Amino acid sequence: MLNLLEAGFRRVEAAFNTVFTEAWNPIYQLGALAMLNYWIVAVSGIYLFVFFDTSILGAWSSVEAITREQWYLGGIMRSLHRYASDAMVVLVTLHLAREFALSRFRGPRWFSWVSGIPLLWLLFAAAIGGYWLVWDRHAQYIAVTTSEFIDALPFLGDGLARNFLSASTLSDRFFSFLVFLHIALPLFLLIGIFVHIKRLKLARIHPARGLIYGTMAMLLALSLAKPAVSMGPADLGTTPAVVDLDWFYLNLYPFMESVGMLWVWGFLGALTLMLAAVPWLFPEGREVLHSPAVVNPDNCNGCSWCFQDCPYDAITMIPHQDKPGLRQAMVDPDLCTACGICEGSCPSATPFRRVEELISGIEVPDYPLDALRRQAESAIDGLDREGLVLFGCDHALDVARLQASGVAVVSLPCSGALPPSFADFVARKDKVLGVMISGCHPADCFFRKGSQWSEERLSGERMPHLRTGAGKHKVRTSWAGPHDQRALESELETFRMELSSDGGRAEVS
Amino acid sequence: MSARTASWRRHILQILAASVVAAGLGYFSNRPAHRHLAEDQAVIKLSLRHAGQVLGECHTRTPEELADLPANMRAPMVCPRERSPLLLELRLNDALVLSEILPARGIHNDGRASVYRRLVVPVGRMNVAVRLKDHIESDVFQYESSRTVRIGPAENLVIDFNGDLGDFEFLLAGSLLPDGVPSDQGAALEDPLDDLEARDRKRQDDEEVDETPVGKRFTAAHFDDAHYPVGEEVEADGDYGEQQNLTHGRGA
Ligand code: HEM
Ligand code: SF4
Ligand code: SF4
Repeated sequence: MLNLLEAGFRRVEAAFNTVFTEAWNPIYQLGALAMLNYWIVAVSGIYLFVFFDTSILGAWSSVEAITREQWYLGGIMRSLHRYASDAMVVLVTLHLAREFALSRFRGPRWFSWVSGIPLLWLLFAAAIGGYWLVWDRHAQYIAVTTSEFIDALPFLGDGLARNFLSASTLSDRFFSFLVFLHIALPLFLLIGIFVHIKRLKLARIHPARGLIYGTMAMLLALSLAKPAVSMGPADLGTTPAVVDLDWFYLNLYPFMESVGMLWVWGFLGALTLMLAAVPWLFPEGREVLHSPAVVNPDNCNGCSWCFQDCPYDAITMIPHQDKPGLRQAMVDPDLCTACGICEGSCPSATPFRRVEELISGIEVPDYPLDALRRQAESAIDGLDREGLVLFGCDHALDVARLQASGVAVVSLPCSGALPPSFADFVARKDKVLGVMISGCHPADCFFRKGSQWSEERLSGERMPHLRTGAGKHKVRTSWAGPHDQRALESELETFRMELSSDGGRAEVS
Repeated sequence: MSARTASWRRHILQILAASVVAAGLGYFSNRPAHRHLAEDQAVIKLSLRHAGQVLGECHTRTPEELADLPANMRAPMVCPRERSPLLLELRLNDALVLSEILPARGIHNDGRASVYRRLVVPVGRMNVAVRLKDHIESDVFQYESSRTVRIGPAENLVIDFNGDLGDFEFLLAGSLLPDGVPSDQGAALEDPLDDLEARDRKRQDDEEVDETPVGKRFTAAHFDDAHYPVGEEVEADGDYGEQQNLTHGRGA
């Protein structure tokens, strides 16, 4: 099932890439877009609150005034408030589906997954509570149905629905409580989001600038074309027989009536439990979990580059155990996803070192540096003619499939796991025309930051750099990503032709 | 990849994609409308919060019983706190549509019992009778009340037990609308029947047309099965169809 879902996402993403380019692809930044919409909702909400009358009798009229007398600002704010909330459900649902489809919930990533689930509840509670405040027929329907829904749980509500028997049973105090909830729940949601991304270094909470403008323009246009309006005022004496439901948030309400409250509770409970169990229900997939990174204090000089590069904040710097005055890295195994990006950042991870067994300051036991050197050497030995060496991340493509005449392949857990000095080392070998490093697009790296760090290291913006001039000339990256084996093949071919035409190693000093 | 599609074409496609998203957001944010009450249906809300009678009598402790207790707890009298469940019944035109035993709340069953039921009923004139027994073993119903009412489409008849008055209150179309909103819904009624009949006459005069679209979810069919012609005075003949069909939104 996961494979099918993944293939589906990949296909849609590819289409979006042609339309939006990788950097602007909304599917790569669903979480960040949800965040953007949160801010739009928050800002418009504050504006609405200024003009909102928090009493039962005044609420509806004050919202009407905002909508009609102040249509050019208040009305637009109200529409933005509604449509950005609706967009949030869509974005969060897609975000969830995608993290699921791409297996980004395993191992230590369970935390991000599980902490996302309460956000769903908070989001729905916050939004449904908001609709309540308008106190129109829609709100009345929601109020009565929601309180009956809560009352259906024997241990929860006792007669919440009794508040809505008639106008005389509904108090301003209860209404103020609802207003309070509609401010508190979104704040809890914000705190929840903070916890949700706490374990991620530099979580992407801002979408690409183009997407920010695009989203705002789209919501604005929609607000002008179809302003959000209320139904008639609530009237507890009659039942609103026909309601204009917001289907994004209230899609289960008709089932509450037709199937029964307790069934809907059961469904929601089961769904929540199943979601929470996902990291353990699907423990294995394409990638087998690896053991966490290990620090070798003898080889650690305390530079803290690994600390800066770890996408999961699994590394802390502590006083060196043997060398007074120095520091050393320490890995929290519960947070480490075994991506190997730290291995690629460590200055001691250089194959130029003349040591029997190459040990880096920090290594993932399943991809030790020594094995990487041996793999690279045997790949070069295996070259049938002068050719290219491809270091490829397996999350983008099964790179072994690109093994061909004149192309030697070494597969990596993540493109960021390759220390730049390795590229140098290989590029200087006689049979090697050039080195290609491939992986997911930086906008959508499986381990979040691998491709980006890799690109920055190779271009000299980030430590460690390439060691020799040869590297700059003969090392290239390709972020064709998971979509396009053929694109990678053709980039390899172009690269080879360029290198051959200028005489191969002629310019290398 | 971007090079493959010219940039102006990309922008047009982007705008197109955004328009599709906007259309989806705009549409589903309040369409399609949801009908959850048919045109010929109305609602009765029955609500109550009341403490049943205390079960058992107080008794004087024997000296032996007293001696067994710690010194600070030697009260000469013990009174049980457990309260009886209530028995609540609702009849429409003499047909029993709801009969429930309501347990007292609290772990010692010493609290009040409460209930809230929303019943969907056909519109029309009917006799509504409720009665309540607050001692389950008693032979008589301590509280009884009935009204003949005429309920219009989508109107709510609220029947609430008022413990202070010791009686059921009937409230029809008890509405309080925001300032400045004209309404023909009327306010709380002292005697529902008078006002209702007056309103009925007004309705007929006005020849009001209900413009709400048809799309039935709950039909009155089960009432017809039970030989209960919609909207007419009837002599009910007992069987009112399955209770489950009548009620929804019921608690556990
Ligand atoms: C209001 C709702 C949510 C917001 C605003 C949100 C936002 C985000 C953001 C900004 C990231 C960081 C992306 C990055 O920099 O790599 C993220 C990651 C993640 N989210 Fe959410 N999220 C929400 C709900 C959810 C839900 C409901 C789930 C699933 C149950 C979920 C699952 C994940 C996972 C698994 C990651 C980690 C990805 C990784 O390890 O690379 N999120 N989220
Ligand atoms: S392998 Fe290294 S970089 Fe990756 S999560 Fe573990 S400690 Fe961090
Ligand atoms: S990058 Fe290597 S040398 Fe630097 S702190 Fe990390 S383990 Fe130590």
